[in-house]
Amino acid sequence: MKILLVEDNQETADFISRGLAEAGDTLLHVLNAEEGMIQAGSRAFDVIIFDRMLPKMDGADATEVMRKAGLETPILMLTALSGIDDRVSGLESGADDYLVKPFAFAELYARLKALARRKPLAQEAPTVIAVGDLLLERTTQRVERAGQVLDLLPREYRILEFLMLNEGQLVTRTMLLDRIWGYNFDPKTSLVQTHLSRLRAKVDKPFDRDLITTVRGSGYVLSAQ
Amino acid sequence: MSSRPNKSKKGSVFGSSVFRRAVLAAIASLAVLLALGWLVHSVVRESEFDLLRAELSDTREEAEALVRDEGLEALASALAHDGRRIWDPDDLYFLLEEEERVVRLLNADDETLAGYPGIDPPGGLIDWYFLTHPDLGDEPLIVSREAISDDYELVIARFVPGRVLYNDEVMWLATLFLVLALGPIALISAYFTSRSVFRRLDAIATTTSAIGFDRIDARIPLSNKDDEFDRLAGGVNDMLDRIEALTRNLEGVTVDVAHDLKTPISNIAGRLQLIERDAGNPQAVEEHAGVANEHIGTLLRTLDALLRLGQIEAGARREAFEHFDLSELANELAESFDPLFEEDDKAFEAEIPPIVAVLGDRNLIAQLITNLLENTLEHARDGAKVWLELTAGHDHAKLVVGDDGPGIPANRAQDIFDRFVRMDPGRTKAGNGLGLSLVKSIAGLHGGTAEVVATEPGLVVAITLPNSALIDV
Repeated sequence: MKILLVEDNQETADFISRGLAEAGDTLLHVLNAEEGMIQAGSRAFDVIIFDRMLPKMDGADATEVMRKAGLETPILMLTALSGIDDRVSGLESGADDYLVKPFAFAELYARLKALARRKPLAQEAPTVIAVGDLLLERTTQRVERAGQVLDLLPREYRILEFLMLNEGQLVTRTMLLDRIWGYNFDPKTSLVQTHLSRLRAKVDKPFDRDLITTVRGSGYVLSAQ
Repeated sequence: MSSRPNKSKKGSVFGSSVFRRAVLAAIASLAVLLALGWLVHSVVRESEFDLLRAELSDTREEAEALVRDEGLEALASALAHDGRRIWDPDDLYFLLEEEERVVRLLNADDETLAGYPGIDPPGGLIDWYFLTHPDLGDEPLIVSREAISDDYELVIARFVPGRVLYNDEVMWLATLFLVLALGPIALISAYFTSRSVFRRLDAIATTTSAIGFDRIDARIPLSNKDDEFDRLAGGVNDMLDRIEALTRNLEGVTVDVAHDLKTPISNIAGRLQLIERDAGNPQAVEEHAGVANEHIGTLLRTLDALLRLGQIEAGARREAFEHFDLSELANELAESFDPLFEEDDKAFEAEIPPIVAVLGDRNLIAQLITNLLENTLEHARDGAKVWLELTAGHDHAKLVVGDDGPGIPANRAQDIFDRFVRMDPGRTKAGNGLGLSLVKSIAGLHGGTAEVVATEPGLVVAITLPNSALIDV
């Protein structure tokens, strides 16, 4: 991935650039919103990470300006604020995702991957998604594995669909809370884990090979390998 | 610097503003009384004088008629007393008694033709003319002196009646008395009227300055008269109760926050030391880092919950309220939590009619229900029955979350919504003690209530939310 990072805090920038370098991605780091907007205009990036609290200009305002100028590159907003309204205002400005500091690198990376993939997926809008012998038909919400129809609850279907759309990528617990439950708070109970284990009992347990694997402390990956 | 900037010296009724006002009011009312007295008196006296003037003019008309019909000589003889045309001072004494009238007919040379020569007023009508008499002294008269024919003038006088003089005297005495006594009367009446008011206000002032100093537990004594002072004092006392409760709560919360933040930080510090020690052992380092991360997660959740509480209690989110389908939300959450209860060996049942909507913030209500369910999940006994019920009143929605054990001590029912309150004294169970505080704050933000309706056999909490509506289906 080619990533643009607009962040004035050197420590956060180092943390992100080290992680991305290890993953083999390309990063351009700029320190302020003006330069960030100029670089974003080149449309050479797959994802933009924009800090919310920048000197002189709010990241949300910058995002709004860029969106009005017709920029379609996915934007992930970073913020130290965790107020209940900050998230909403961040997303309303045109950002595609929103992450509160401090965060685990795995969380950031999973979200970047999901954002980078979203655009082509949306364009193709596949009606059938296949991962290995697992088949999901989006129009009829029919799911089958190895020719056997799986009986899923609506929420289980949505979790599986989201995992399959992000095939081979880490999907974190917070991403699932965001997308499937629409929660912007972190329940202390094992809500996500319980539902995932139920889903796995239907999708993986009756079959030889597990498609869904747990990444300890972070989330889940669905993959045919 | 003074340690008691607002502590006034013990007030005195004479220095109080209510006393000054009462003095002014007393003076003003006495002055009005006096003015009224004089007004009545002058009206009465004027009517007496009108009577006298009418009599004078009657007498004059009679005299004129006599002169016209029979000549001046006839008048002169008619004015004679005891056969004497010219009266002497003794006659006057008698005439005053009998006829209350003195006359004098005189020519252009001031020679008296008939009547009493000792009366010599200037021309016209005079209300107060004093006749000097050797025996009687100065007698007040109303007198007229006018020409009765070309060369003659007639003076007619009547004594001002004794009652008029008496009334005058009484009025002047009363005025003198009031002017002299005004000060003392005003002071005394002001003292009595202002004393009770002053006492009541002084009690309030004394109490509030005591609170300003250091005694937040001081309260204003009530008189049980239920008057405006009691209402004021009651209102101030209620306010103080609330302020005191908030202050105590804040003190407690500060200590609890410090404790709750210190524990995970100490654990993180410990793990960092272990990482240093075990630097050569990657497996051990990974384990220490993992544990440290979990503690950081706890810390962040506590801080996040505190921030949310602050924001919710500031009430800023009310503008974003909209009607949403509470039944749908409750169903979704019940369905989400059902497997969790099952895994935890608890029998969960939800009873949700499909038609209830409320005005509010969907996300916050989601958190409210989640927190209630999580609380039950955490604290209900194994094998417990747990239920979520939604009912619609005529103008409010009611959410009930309950379990059948083990419950909490009845005397702690009110405490469970306080911040950082946990029912296990050792604080060993998970959680930060903010979950139910958030529940109460969120209910409060929506104008609703959160109450404990049962503490045994299990805890049952009821949330009411106003502004509900039934959805047409």
